[in-house]
Amino acid sequence: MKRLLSSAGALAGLIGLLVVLNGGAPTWAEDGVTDKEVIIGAGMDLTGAVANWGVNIKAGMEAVFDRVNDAGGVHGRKIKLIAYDHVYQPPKAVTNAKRLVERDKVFVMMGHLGTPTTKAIKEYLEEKQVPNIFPATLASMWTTSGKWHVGDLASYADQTWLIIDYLVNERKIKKIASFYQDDEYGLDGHLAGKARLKQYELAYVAEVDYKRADIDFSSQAAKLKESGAEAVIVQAVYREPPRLAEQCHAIGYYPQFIGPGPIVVNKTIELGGKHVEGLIGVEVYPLPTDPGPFLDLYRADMKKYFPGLPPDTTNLYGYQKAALFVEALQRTGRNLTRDSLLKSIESIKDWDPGWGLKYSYGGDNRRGMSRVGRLVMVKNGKWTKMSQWIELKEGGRR
Amino acid sequence: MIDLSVHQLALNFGGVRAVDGVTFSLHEGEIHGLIGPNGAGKTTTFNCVTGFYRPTGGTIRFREREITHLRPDQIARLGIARTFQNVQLFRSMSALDNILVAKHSQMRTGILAEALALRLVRRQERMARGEAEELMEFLGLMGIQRQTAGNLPLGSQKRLELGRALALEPKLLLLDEPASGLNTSETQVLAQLLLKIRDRFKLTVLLVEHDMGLMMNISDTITVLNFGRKIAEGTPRDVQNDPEVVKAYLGENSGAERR
Amino acid sequence: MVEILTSQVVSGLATGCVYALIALGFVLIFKATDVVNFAQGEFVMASGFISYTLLIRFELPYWLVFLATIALSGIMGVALERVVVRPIMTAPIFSIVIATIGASIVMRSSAGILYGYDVLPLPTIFSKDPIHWGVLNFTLMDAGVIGSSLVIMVVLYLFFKLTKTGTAMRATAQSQTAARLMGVSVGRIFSLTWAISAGIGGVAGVLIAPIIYLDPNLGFIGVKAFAGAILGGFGSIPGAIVGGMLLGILENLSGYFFNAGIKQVSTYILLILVLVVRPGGLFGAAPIRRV
Ligand SMILES: Nc1ncnc2c1ncn2[C@@H]1O[C@H](COP(=O)(O)OP(=O)(O)OP(=O)(O)O)[C@@H](O)[C@H]1O
Ligand SMILES: [Mg+2]
Repeated sequence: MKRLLSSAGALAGLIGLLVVLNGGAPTWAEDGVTDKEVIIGAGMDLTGAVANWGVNIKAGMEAVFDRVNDAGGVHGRKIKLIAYDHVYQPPKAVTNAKRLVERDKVFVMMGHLGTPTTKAIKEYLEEKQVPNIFPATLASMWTTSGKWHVGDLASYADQTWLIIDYLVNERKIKKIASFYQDDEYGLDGHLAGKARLKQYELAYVAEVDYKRADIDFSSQAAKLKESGAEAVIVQAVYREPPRLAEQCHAIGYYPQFIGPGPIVVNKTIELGGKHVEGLIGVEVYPLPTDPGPFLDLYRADMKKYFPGLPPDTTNLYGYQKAALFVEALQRTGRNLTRDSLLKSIESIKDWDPGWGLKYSYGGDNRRGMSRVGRLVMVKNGKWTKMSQWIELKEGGRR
Repeated sequence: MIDLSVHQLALNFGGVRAVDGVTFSLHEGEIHGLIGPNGAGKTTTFNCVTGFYRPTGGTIRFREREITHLRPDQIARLGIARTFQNVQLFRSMSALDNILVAKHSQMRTGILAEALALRLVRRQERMARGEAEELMEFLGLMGIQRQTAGNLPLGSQKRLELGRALALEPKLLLLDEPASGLNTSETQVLAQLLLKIRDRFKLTVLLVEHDMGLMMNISDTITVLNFGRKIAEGTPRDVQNDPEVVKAYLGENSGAERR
Repeated sequence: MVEILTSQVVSGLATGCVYALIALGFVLIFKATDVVNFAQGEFVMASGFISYTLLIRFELPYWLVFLATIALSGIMGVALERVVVRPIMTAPIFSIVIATIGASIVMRSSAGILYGYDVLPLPTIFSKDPIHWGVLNFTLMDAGVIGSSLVIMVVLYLFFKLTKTGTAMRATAQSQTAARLMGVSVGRIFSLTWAISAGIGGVAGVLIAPIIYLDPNLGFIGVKAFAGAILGGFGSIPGAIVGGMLLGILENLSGYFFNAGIKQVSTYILLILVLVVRPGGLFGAAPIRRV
């Protein structure tokens, strides 16, 4: 009996000790939120086919968080990002998401990379009621998927409408082909383009697909050449357009290549060299070299926290996500829950971080930034502005 | 002069004492027979001498040099060559190439010299080929140089294996049942060939063979093993009349001749 | 139409030649040592990075880089054999194969740590501009890759056929026991085999990296080459060459006549079909089943 009592005493003491070690903090109702910290999670491709995007988005986000944390955090809480490598493979993304939600107990998923990979964890996040904030995919599905998913910029579908309008109206090109990644990413723009062409009473003259991580496109090049397409829309990332262009040129075929945001990366130029001269891309946010106080801050932060990574559209993409997230945390205040965070994101209206473009939410607009975009082209080995910002039409929602 | 001396050689396989304290020695230029019933430890002794097995006890000396723990390729380079009970040719190489592999061990050119195809290398290679052809002619193997070794009839395979051993220019030749699978007349030809080889190449031969006629005919000395132990040694006549030997062979119900 | 088809075949053949070189590496090591070296693709990847470093960081001339890469890759092969494989050579083959898989993971991660996972462009001396030659339609790059591969194969053939060391290597592959008896140091031959296989992998790396870009995952090309080796009959040298080349061409044609999905699985469909008809592969002896 005596023994039992003393072990009970020891147990009580231990619990007391744990409470003290924990800072005696009042426990927050929400996972990942403590008095001093908010833990957020992300799945990134750090070692796979789109690692250039993954590594840079993570760095861009961390540059913002590091600066904010150095200044004491948001409402006394430091932001801690846990990112795991999913290698751009959906099954790994699911495993990582479970680890983040169930073991690391993250507050929200933030900046999760890739359309197929984020789609793979969509239902899981809904079931666990973990918000999917600003995923690093601009597929149109994130603007229409309900409460738990919040996008940030104009979708691939919107961008593809801009591409088609440009090709048909300004370039007077009617023979347009689509080269697309055979997954949710590539299909988003591919199908939107098909719908837009239909409105012009046109259709793709060739539709050729490729698989993620494919490295040889000679058969695609041959088919495109046979179709006689004058323009090829590349619903791809940064590896494929240079290689495709090279292989088209190898068979004496020189169409206009044009594609959405993910191809607008310095890496595309580094890989493609002369073969990507004249390649056109769609931008939905300014170039890293553009003027503006927000971009000055961005360049300073990158230099300070990631001196090894030069400014690039990839890390700017992560950077603007993190800045938007910090703004939402600011608006939420001390009482941070998943619901209160989502509410304060809804409250963002015409917010300009200082680069001339505004984010707006509210109603069913989960898109954030007003639907704007502009065309950029590779000229003398540099991405160069071709047009002013234009309001994008709403590319067919799927 | 003593060529090979095996002293208290022992090797166990788990519980089996395959060779159990065997001592014998070979005089330069002799044909020394090693006989004994199946499983007596003859092949195991060969494998110890040629470095394929590590003896658990005893020493082996070749011309005053201890070779007990050398690797097979080192022992081969010292001048000990052998053939196998079941022929071990490079089956999908040509007959000539089989001999050439052995001839090459005589060449002392490095891989770098080869890569550069130096004149010296080419001259040596030409010489090796010439000698290999000559050897094949001596063994009556002309006309089959280009044939694939594995496709030759057994008799030719055995002779080719013998030729390959000779190509090493050994001082000591170990032959494990060279007559097995041969008919009577072939065996007689072989006996003559062995004597001719000994005289022409000036070498010592250690011969394992179940064909008693052959053994008695050409051996200078015979060592008899049974259950891993030496039970007799002497001239063919001495050994033939040794009661221990007779018992050992009669104990095997198949009698003196194999099976 | 004909022009497009020929260009498909030629560029497929170029990729196929690279598969063939890697497949050769698999087969040489397997024949000599019975080990399937799953780090074979990683030699390709590592030599890509070696030549990148020598070309970009040290700015050495291309021909020197080419030779140095092959040599360094060969040394890497010997190191792998000595450090990873030889100490466990008496273990069951399965354990050795697992060890090579482990080595491949280590090599891949090391490349990732040293160079990052970003794709890098590797310069080449071969131009990628088109050349027309009758109905043939190809680039200097294709021609260079095919030509270099063929030269390597012929040199290897002569080496195995005519030189002392080559003959000793063939002998060792057939019977280690007998080779030892011929004074062949089997340990040396093993090391040499790994050096040559890795060296060929090095050639493949220098040839393929400029085509498909360089990153730590480049080694996965080894999986395709492995399929090529099996297609040809694992253990057969002509099989490895023909199997690799066939795969390259097949991939291109199936991509052209069907789509990316079919292209992706075409390798394995062909593999299964061939193995059903000829269980030993195109050039392999059919396995004898003892009853
Ligand atoms: N590798 C081995 N592992 C286990 N036991 C072995 C091995 N080699 C030989 N033995 C055993 O050692 C003993 C001697 O075998 P060995 O082959 O030396 O006999 P042998 O005299 O050559 O017989 P034979 O006339 O049949 O060739 C036998 O009992 C045999 O089973
Ligand atoms: Mg025996």
